[in-house]
Amino acid sequence: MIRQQLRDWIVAQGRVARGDLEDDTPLLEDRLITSLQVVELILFLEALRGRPIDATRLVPGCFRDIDTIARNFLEL
Amino acid sequence: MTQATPWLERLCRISAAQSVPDRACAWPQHLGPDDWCMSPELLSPYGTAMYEALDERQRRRLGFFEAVNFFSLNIWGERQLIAGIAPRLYPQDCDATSRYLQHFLAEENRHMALFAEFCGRYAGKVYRQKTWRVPRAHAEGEEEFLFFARVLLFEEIVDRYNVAMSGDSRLPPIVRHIHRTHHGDESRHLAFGRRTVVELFERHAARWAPEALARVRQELEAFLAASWREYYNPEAYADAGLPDPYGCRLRLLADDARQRHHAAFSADSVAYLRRHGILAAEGAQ
Repeated sequence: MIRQQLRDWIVAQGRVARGDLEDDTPLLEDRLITSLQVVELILFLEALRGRPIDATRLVPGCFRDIDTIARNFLEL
Repeated sequence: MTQATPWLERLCRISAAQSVPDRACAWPQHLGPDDWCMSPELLSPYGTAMYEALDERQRRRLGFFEAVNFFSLNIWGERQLIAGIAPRLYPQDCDATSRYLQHFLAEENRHMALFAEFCGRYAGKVYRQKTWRVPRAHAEGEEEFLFFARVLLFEEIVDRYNVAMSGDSRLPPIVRHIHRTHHGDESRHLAFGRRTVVELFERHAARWAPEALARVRQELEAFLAASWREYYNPEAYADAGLPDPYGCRLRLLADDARQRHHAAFSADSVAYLRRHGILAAEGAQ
């Protein structure tokens, strides 16, 4: 359910069709999410978690794909 | 980079004359959520039903944490600015631009110290930075241009808040002092920024492919929108005791009154960039 909400958010950014988005599709590398949209992604994830993300966990690679995000921030 | 010109020399002279230690700074023993620290008209819910639903005490409390958010945004913005300016110093020789940028850096450092002192002394924290930059390929001169253009847009919005609050007698003297000090230096930074942005654009844009120019315009518009979204911080809403802070943010960002506020405060910057062909004319593709 939460993973689906994350997938819906990424598709809503308008850079990828639902059918082309896999859990291991590179999000930043393929520019499906831009630098400026990462801030919104962080806030979206915080809303899903119900608590802020520790800034020390925002390291290169932490938003690589849906699997990585779920593992790092959503405890899925 | 710009060459030695009378206007740049003049900015250097003014900065040098104003770089005396700041003796007018009197920090009160206590400031907190019961004190007005932000002009009510500049609170992020102003003009919306959410603002009307808040009582005076809640507005003051939100104002305190939004002041901390405003100063935090400035700390992060200026930290990036300093990191970006430093490698641009003295690219070849002792050029006039680099000499001015030394003043620029010193002034930005002084501002950061003021902002951090307020946040640390009265709130015990600086809100987290959430900005993120993904490396990508650039056309020749594009990265240089975008760096200065982003700085200009960020600082021009901030400056409008500084001007409004430096003269707001409802705010404590120290808050007005911080805004006044920042505005005093920023007026020179903005003069420098406007000239530099136009000069870099005129130097490089003619050689950019149409898709590169479109990308630059799109990035500047997206940056402006993203800069505004940073004024809506769920952590500040939570600290102020507002329920559903993330939902608050999304509802406010979708409110027409807030979009009108953004447009009004950005109008002069957008008009300047359009006048110089940096942003496309209104309604143009």
